[in-house]
Amino acid sequence: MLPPPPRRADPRRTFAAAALLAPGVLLLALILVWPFLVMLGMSLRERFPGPIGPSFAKYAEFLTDPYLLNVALRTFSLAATVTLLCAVLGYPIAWFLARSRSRWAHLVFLGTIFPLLVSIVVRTMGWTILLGNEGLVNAALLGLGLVTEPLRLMQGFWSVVLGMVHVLMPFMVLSIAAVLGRIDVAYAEAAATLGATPLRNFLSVTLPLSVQGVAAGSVIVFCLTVGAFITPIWLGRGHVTVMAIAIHEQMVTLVDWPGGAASGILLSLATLLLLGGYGLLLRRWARR
Amino acid sequence: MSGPAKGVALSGVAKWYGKVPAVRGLDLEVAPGEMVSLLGPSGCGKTTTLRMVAGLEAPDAGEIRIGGTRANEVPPWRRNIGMVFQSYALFPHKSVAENIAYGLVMRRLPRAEVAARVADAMRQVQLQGLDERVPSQLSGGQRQRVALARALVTRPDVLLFDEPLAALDRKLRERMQVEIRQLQRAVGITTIFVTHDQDEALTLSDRIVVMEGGRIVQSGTPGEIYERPGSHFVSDFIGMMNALRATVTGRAEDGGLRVRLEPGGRELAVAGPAGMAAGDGVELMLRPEKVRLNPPAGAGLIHVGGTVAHVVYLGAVTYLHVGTPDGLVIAMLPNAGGDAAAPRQGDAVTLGWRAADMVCFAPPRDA
Repeated sequence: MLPPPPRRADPRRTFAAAALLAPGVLLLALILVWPFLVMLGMSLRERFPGPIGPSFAKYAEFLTDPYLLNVALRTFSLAATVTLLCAVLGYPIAWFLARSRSRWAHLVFLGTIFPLLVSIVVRTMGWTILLGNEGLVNAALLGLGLVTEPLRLMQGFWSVVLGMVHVLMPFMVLSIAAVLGRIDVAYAEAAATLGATPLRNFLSVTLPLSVQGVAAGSVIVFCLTVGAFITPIWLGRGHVTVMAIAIHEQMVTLVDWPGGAASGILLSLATLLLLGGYGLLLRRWARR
Repeated sequence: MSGPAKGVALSGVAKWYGKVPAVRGLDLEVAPGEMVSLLGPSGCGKTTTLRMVAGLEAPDAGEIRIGGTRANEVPPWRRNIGMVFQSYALFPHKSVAENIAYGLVMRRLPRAEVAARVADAMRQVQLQGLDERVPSQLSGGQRQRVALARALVTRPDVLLFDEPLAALDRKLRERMQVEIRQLQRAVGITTIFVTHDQDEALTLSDRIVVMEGGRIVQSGTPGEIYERPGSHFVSDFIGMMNALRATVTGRAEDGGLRVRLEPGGRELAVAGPAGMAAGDGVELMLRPEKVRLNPPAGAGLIHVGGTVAHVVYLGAVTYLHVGTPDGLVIAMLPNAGGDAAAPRQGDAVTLGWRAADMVCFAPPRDA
């Protein structure tokens, strides 16, 4: 006679797993799910204080307001640009970190994570010191006589891009390096012996195999850019209004809480949709 | 193959890893269509040598020629080689068919020809019907075949193997050895095969090149290497060996050496290397299969009596470890008479072998 198959789960183990999971799950529920539900409720009111409709008036308002739609478009353009630049500029650094046996690799690693150790406020402030009208760059240009008036380096879309790329680059580099470091060098060597030039080798083997790292880094950078507040305010000097700033305006300046909540929900939804589509695209490409 | 098979020639090739020499001044010629094994313990420089032929490592000195043309400066992707890696290195994100097609796609062949040649190659290594699988869905032997097909389908000038069978279990390994050898013969491709497994080298090669410490210590057919090892290292590395300690007592009239076995004091005349003088310590190497059990008297054999200390039964053969006055002698006996016929531990036996079957070497310095 065969002994009966073992029971699926030992109740003691199940309890232990539940006990270990509980604090994290409760905390997440408290700081993520609960506020989200509150905001969802808020967005379904017509005014606050007032009853929860449910009314989609604030959503309709958003989707017909050219100013807000423009801000949303700018926000996602900014996020896409920053993500692309981080990926393109960060990949070679990640490559160096993952593959180089140089003694400089340690220094490059330190240089990469160092920005993470400094508060985002301080880093952005640093850029204002560099790029301001009386900043280092303008002082140098004036001093050298290359320009006669300070350049307005700091109120455009690209100055915000510059600051955001600097702030978020470590996330991209570390995500890509983590994946690159686990890819066996033999794949690229095999491709080379089969006749792949370095460029085709990279595009057909190493890049598809490291796409997970690029995807993870992109998600982090994109999300953080979409929600960025301080950097666009300081480096855009009021000329680069993004969603975070607009929502702040709606809620604090206009005291339109349902409107701000609806904007927030729509922003989250759009971000999720974009990232989902991006993930699908990458996966399909990598399996090609 | 584009045209007739091409040979490979290395002259004075050296490679350093930092301050450690990996390969020190290697001269090696592989004839067109020849299959050569580089055999040696790990760290002997065999893989480095192979990688230099592939172009994956650059030699620090010397010249590598493929088909008579200097290849030192040619990058791997222009060398027209095929290489099978120890880990197979099959692209995990590509299907079996895409893996095999890779080299053809890189050569920008027309789509129809790629498909035809991939199908051909898959038939050749018996992988029909697995086109759409990805490497993670294949068994070890199937992966091996895909790697082989991928390396061969481009019709390379040289085929390189870097211990490709190390990960397979014994049965499969032996079958793949025969398959690789048959395929290599059929295609007639110049092949260099790196291995640390002596059986593999004996099975596969036209010629075995034994390496130690970044140098070639002996090169010859499997028979030459096995029967007439040129050094203590080679005789010890290939196959099982008895090593009997002895002291040189003088030269014989025929130019051989007169030696005295150490513990027993028996005097023998053996063939030995030049440069030995009376009083030198030597080791007499003797293959276990040359030792006979209870041979008839006379017959010109050296006879030694002893007691069976240990019996290793392996099915096809039995190894007898026999303690004799001249030291421990291991004898390999075919089990023609079944498992009951072999002597047991504690039995008194007589062993015999021909003096000509012993090879005399100076013992390794660290021994």
